[in-house]
Amino acid sequence: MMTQPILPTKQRLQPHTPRRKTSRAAVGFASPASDFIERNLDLNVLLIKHPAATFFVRVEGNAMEDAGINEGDILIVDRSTKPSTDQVVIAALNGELVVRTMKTTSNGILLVANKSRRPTIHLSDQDQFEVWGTVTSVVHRV
Amino acid sequence: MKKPIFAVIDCNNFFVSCERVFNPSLWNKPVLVLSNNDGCIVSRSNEVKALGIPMGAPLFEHTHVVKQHQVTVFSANFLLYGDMSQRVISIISMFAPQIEVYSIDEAFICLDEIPDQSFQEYGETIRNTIYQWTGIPVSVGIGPTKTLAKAASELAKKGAGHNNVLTLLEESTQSDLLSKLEVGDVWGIGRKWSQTLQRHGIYTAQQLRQTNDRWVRKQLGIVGLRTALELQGIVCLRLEPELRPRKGIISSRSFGRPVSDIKEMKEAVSQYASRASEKLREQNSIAATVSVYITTNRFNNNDPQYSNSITIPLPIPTDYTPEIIRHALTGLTRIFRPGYRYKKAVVGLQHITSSDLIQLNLFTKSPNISKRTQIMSCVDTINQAWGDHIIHSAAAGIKRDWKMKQDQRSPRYTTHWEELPVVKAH
Repeated sequence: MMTQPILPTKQRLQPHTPRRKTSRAAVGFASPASDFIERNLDLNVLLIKHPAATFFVRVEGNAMEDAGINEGDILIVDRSTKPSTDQVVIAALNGELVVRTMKTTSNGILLVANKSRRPTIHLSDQDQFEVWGTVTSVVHRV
Repeated sequence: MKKPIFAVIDCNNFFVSCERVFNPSLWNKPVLVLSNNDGCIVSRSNEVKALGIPMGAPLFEHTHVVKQHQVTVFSANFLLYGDMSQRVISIISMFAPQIEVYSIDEAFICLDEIPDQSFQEYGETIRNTIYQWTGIPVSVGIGPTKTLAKAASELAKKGAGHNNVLTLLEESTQSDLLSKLEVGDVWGIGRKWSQTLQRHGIYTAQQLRQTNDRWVRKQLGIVGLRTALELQGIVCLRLEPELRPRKGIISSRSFGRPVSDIKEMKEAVSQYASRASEKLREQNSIAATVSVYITTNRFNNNDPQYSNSITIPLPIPTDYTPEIIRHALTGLTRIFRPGYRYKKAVVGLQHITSSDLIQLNLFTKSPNISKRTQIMSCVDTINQAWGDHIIHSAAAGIKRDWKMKQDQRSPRYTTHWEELPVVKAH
């Protein structure tokens, strides 16, 4: 029940007792790091700019090896930014999600593999195509 | 004072749309999602609607059509839907200072600060942003009352308006379009009222708004009158930014004094979650989602203000206290921001259904139910004494049948590392 006010017991009992920490500061330097001790580096902050638009996907196949994207890697995909040419994208193409480098040319959109002898996909009107998101980072175990 | 303008953002066929985001092979194909307890249809793609399969129908009644038209059937994947819902809500929050999350797939906002001429454009921006960021298609209805906004979104879904956004502000557009809206599709008019109205020759929303107020009040009471007045453009319902589940249990209380420490907040939330679970068991039900809402004291102008809510889907619908507490606390830690003086916390349980056991026990009703309640209260007592999970496995065993009914559940694409969507690089 929430009938009695929430109040830490210690404070209630000894409101004016000087804290031990304060007296210790008098006998030596406080660690200069103590003010920052709770700020750990958070990979989310580094890698994810738009949490509501960011998804993780797993790679199957090696057609993007030369772009540093290998089989089994996890890609961080941000849907909030519209990709420009030469960016690595996830495309929804004819019922599948595929990863390719997108190039916009005067002849239309190309989805280019980053490995020799892998096919470049020329999009035609028959294709069901939508850019699903832009790949922003690769998580690769070494 | 400026007149209020309301917008409602309503996800189209939400559960089906969530499935489609990660599985493009389902685009333009008939798809439906089942409730995971009783095999009823809870979400339908437009293709399924066109086949004449009604909402809420048990699947077995339509097996033939489903097979014939190769309809893809999914069990509910509440973890996925809950995650996608939170994404949509957080995007809507970028467009308005206050938001009323009305259900897992719809929310109201106020557009009071938007210049008059650009409502339609603003609505389309919201719609396009949500689609681009999440892949979820939404309809947006804009009107001078919440009921008119809902009517607008209903009409937008049926193709009125532009880009799934309909602004219903001009009197002439209102009367024109409301004559195309069936009275049963008006927000707040249930099936029974709809029948009553039709018996008296009232078939459309337009007819209802032209009906004599006194008659409406006599037939449908004050709540029905409110709906009719709102259709006329008279504001009766305001934005309610607090968590207020439509069909759910809530447990809340304002604190005796402002609380800033997460430990104390955790204690409070655990307590409310526990009480909500008790209420749930009292009515022999299980819940599929738990929500937490926290807020500072809005009337205290000197304090920095913060409020937020979160809905966490339970992996398996349950009435089990420790499980509900655990997820409520996960929710709390996600929305809690240090440095604020909190005034109130609310814990809610939604998507409530009667537990399967009750159905099994139809013929031996009361004794078994009371026995089960005894077991659960026993569980609670023991757990309180010995720690949260001491008899957890027994309870998980009781619920094992839930797992079996999730055969057709799609991967939990956004919450489990092992179940991420696969992208092809061939």
